[in-house]
Amino acid sequence: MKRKMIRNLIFSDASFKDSSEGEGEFIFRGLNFEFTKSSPVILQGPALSGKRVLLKLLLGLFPLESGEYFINEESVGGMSFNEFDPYRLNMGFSFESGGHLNNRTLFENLTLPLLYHDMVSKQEVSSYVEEFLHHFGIMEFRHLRPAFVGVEVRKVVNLIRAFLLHPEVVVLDNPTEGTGVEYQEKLIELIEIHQKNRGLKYIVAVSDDERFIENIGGKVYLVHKSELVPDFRRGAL
Amino acid sequence: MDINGRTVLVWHLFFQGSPSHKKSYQVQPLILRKDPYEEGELSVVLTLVDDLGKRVLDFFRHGVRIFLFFYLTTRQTLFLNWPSFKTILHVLVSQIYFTGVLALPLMTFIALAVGSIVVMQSNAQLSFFGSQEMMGNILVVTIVREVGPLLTALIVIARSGTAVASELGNMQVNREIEGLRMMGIEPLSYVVFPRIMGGIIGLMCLAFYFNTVALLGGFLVASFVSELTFSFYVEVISFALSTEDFFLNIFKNILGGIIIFSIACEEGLKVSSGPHEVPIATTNSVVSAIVTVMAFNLGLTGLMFARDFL
Repeated sequence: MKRKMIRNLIFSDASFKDSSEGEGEFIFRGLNFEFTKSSPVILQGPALSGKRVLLKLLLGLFPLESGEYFINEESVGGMSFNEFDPYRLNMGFSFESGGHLNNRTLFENLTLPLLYHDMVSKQEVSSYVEEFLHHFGIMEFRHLRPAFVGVEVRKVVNLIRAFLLHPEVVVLDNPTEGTGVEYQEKLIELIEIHQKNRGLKYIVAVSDDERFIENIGGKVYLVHKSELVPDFRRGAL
Repeated sequence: MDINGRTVLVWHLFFQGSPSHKKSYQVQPLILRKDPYEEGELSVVLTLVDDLGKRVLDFFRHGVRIFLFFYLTTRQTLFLNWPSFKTILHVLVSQIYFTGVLALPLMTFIALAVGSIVVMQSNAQLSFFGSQEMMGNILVVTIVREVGPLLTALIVIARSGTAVASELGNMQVNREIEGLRMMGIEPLSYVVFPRIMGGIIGLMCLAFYFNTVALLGGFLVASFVSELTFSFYVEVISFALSTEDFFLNIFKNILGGIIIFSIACEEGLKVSSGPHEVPIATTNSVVSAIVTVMAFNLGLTGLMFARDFL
């Protein structure tokens, strides 16, 4: 499948309702926001404020209740899973925790999206993935299953997965939580490499790690009552 | 509450829900309802007929949902994710191995036991009447048409259906399904389709294996205790076997596979709020698959009988 370039990401008057149970409640009502290429967008806010829902909306995993989600001026808010795929392949996502296939080794977990989407040939896939594993220094764990490695290594594999397809958009959920300083520095290096050489344009992350935010030059937004409030002071709201 | 009221309550508890049922224990509306006994016996009968009707309709809805789920999965894989089929094939082969190959020792034991019981019993009864040539018909009808597909389906439900339901339930809990979607991998294609297809292929092979072992192995065991010659045995079996039996067997196994694995996958994917739901989903899948497979086999046998009479 051919992936589509991403020039801009805009939510316009977007509303999303959690309808998993009964009528559901609005998590976002009339959200207007344009993601910037110049500085990474860092989302903060209390639990249940909708930070992670916004990340998933960005990846087109939920349809909007009303309003629009534009990518390259094309309205994608009501697209089906398959219709959104060309854009999704240009987006990488890293979970806060979990999300690995437990019956596959770490190496197989990483090669799966590459082989499934036929983005790298079977001959090249090893060297392609090993480059990332080398970067973080976790080569020796590659043939182990997720249950046999520590939380930190699992987290790193999650992070690698986000960058694997060389996406233009990277969405990270608490990327530094549970990892040591060494891995955090490697992550920042990886982000820089992808920004400089591999066409990474947008970074959207949920994080409270001041050091990480400073290092990537992120701009913090508070998710509050369907709005993304910039330049807020802690405790002001 | 009087005796009749209690009867209706038991009826409701039994037919309206088990603890695992989504709308479990609808006791409250029943208690709030007017006591049917006060309105006469007719009301009680009407209530029972009404409830029975609802149950039958629910069952048909359930059947439609299973086949719709199977259709959507197949459509998604063959039409929308065809380029990724090579990757899916790897999971499909694993499922065939798990459902088919790993079940062979258990299947061998059960097929031998069933085959020898049926062969010994039919041989003993028929020799009493001096009509041993009828043994072929009895064996084909019992083993190939009925017991083979049904018993294989039950073993596969117990062995693989439970495994699939709990595996998918755990995948939901561990956010593996969500992880796949994030990578642009549709779980219906990568997770569900290979499990259903692998299950169907595994079930068909197992059923064929069951029939063969039950018929041949049954003879071997029976030959120790009776004077049955192999040539006579083969002759009566091949005389009784028809093309219709062959196709009926395949049809039963394909439909059985669709039912078992669609239910298992659907129940597994329903898990949403935590690990405590996994055993519930597994139990639901087993109960639902057993009832549906039994009803399907019964219905099909009924249709065959009806056709023979008409």
